[in-house]
Amino acid sequence: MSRLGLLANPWAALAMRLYLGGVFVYASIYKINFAAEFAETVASYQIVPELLVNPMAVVLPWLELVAGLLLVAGLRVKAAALVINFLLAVFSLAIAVTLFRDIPIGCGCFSTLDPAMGWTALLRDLVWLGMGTYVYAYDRKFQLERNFLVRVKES
Amino acid sequence: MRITPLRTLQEAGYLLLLTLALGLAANALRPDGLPLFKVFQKDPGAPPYATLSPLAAADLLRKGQALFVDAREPKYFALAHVPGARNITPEQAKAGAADDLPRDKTLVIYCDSLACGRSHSLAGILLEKDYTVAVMQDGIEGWIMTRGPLEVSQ
Repeated sequence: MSRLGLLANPWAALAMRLYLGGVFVYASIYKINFAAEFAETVASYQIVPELLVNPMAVVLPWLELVAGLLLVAGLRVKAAALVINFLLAVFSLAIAVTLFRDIPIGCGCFSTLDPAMGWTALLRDLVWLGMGTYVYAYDRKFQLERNFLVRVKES
Repeated sequence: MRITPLRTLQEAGYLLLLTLALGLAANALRPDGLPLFKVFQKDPGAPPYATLSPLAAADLLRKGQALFVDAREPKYFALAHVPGARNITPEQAKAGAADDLPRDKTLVIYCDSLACGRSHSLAGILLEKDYTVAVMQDGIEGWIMTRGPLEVSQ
């Protein structure tokens, strides 16, 4: 906490952590419930090879859910934030490619019925990516494993 | 305990493995699980209407036996569509916009590309209204690839 004192505010990081975790948990629920629909969304981006569409549609929402829960709970925050940042980077790239290719599809970020996406979807993901990076770097308040678990002395 | 970047990466890797197992297990357990190692298919089981290649559809149009129906949003329809095509979205068809179509022709329905579902949902609706329906599966994209003529609104 020296020069970075104002910039690296742990409370801001906490707020972003909870928000981002919530967003990911929320986003995962629909996709887990309607895996087949999500598979169509994945396919509509025309990026993932056909053979990998179903495995991706099955696994990706769970990754969102677990990483989101870990963020909210404050367990292994850095790892969870890393995963979320990775996902956001992939999503942003996919959205950008789709916009450049001018494929008129919905984002499918939260449900299948999203309206056709535009640059705002990309902007939103990039803002979240910024938040995720901030969380990765500066979060340290109310982390379950740091503050509320009994510490075992390392030898 | 210091959390080094390497350690974080390692934990992220474990997280990945964990969710891989979770996702696969959930998919295996649920009754409507997806077939994992099959090529993704839009419509399992053949649809109850014909699917046409762009060339076959163009042939039908030349013989005067086809009317093209564009299932995309009007703004995309305005940019380019098959000459003479009608623009009816699935929503409009549900609201009754498709009740005056010719019954002596095959309605060739298309949307954006192979991956779009609108043509299929529109085909389902029109089929219920007892029209003769076919879907041009590759959409306007396939039409353009085979150098089909285009028309622009305005």
